[in-house]
Amino acid sequence: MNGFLPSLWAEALKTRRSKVPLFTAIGFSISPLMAGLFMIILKDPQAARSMGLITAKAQLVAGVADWPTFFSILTQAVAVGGAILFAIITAWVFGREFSDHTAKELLALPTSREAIVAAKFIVIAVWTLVLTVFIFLIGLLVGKLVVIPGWSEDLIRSASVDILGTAVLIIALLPFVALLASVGRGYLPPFGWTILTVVLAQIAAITGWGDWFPWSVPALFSGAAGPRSELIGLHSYMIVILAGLIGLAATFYWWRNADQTR
Amino acid sequence: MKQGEIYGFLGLNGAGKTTTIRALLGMIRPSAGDVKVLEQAVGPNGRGPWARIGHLVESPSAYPELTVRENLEIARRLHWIADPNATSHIIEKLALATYADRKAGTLSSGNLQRLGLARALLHEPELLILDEPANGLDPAGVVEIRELLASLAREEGVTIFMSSHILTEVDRLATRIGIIHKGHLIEELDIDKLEKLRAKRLEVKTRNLEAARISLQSAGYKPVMQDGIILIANEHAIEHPDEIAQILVNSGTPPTHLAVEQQNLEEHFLQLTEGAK
Repeated sequence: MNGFLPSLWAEALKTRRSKVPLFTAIGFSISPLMAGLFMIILKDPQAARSMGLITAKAQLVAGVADWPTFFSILTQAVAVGGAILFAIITAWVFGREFSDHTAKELLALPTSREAIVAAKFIVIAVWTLVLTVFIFLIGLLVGKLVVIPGWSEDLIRSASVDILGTAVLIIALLPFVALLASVGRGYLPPFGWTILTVVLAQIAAITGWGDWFPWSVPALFSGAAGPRSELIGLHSYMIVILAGLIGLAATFYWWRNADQTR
Repeated sequence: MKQGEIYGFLGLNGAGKTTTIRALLGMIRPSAGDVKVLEQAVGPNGRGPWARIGHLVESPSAYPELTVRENLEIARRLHWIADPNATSHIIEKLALATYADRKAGTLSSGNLQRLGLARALLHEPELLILDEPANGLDPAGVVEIRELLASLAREEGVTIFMSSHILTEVDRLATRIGIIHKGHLIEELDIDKLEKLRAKRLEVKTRNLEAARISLQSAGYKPVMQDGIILIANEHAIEHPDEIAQILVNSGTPPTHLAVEQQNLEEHFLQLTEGAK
């Protein structure tokens, strides 16, 4: 893969100079803040009602105000928010080359197209993982500020596995978003694809086929629908990896072989 | 193409200029046959002698949130140019120093075109493939870029393949011209033919063409009859049409029309493309 490091440098510079990382960080930090708000409400629903945070009609099903519940809410927020936000990041990294008409400057270079695509994927992976760690740290801070019981080192360890695991499963499925942004030469097709997969993931999970549908697996892993061991198995992880590899191969193939008329 | 040649690739809108350029750069597959550039096969899989080729395809583009320098720095690294001064050097050469730290998104179309040309020239390629290089430039910029391209070809032996629909631009710069119409190369004009096209001539009309021709011939000129007009290519005649008028009046065949004309590329191009319709 000729020219991988220069490509990585270029992709990193484009990302650093863009405002998209800032916007995605702000957008994603809603997740821990939301989890913190839930904790405040659950700690004292009566006070929350009197403060106007919730109305009398609010159904409080989240449980009790403690660290395990807090992390559970945060992990589920990562599963839902990450699926959308990470897709936006991927759509931007690939789609911007077409909306800014810069794709044609990447095709006839000593640096191979494969190196450029690989650098883009690396930047997406690093970016989304850093975002995940960032909101995990914000979550810790919010949890400390809200003051909830149930803190333990074991819990932190298992919560970080849950959150990072959920994020990694979402990231593994991002190549399809990259492929749609490339083939569709812009932002709309990957966004349409993301909405479609979110809806299909819900349907698959409800009908009990979620463990076989790659896009359902991250949410099922996060514990949104119950204990993960009952919902997904080794085959679910395999199918996510397989889907990710197919997406990667298709994206590389497209950049290598497709006619670039724009 | 020969080394150091400037090939003007002319055609109407939609004739296939950009499509040809994209095929030369391996961006699209030709519908038939193969494409070889600098004796190397090129293809959509990225194969090709790209380190030796600079290109500008259609309207120039750049990452809008990056400065001019950063955009060129990306190009420098993707071209594996080790010398970090290459970027500053090309910024100077293309008169972009004032804008070096401006974001590309704020550039005028002319300066964006300069940035595109800077990127094409950054790695000192031996072949330049340029699509409409004068697009968006102001008149001074057009002259400057023309001189730059001419000197690259003349002094550094850079071969230039440039498409354009601005005939005067091509006419002034090109040493060979190809005319494409509806996807087919309908004519190639080499330097001699171009010179002939550019040559001036004196057109004469009188009421008695034959008598006029004889009197001009006996005065030492070489008149040629063509479509009811006498044409004289002699330089002295072109510079002194008054003397020709004198000869014609003295021989009793006074001119009814006397004009120095120059057939140009535009006329030729229009004739060709009209004829090919």
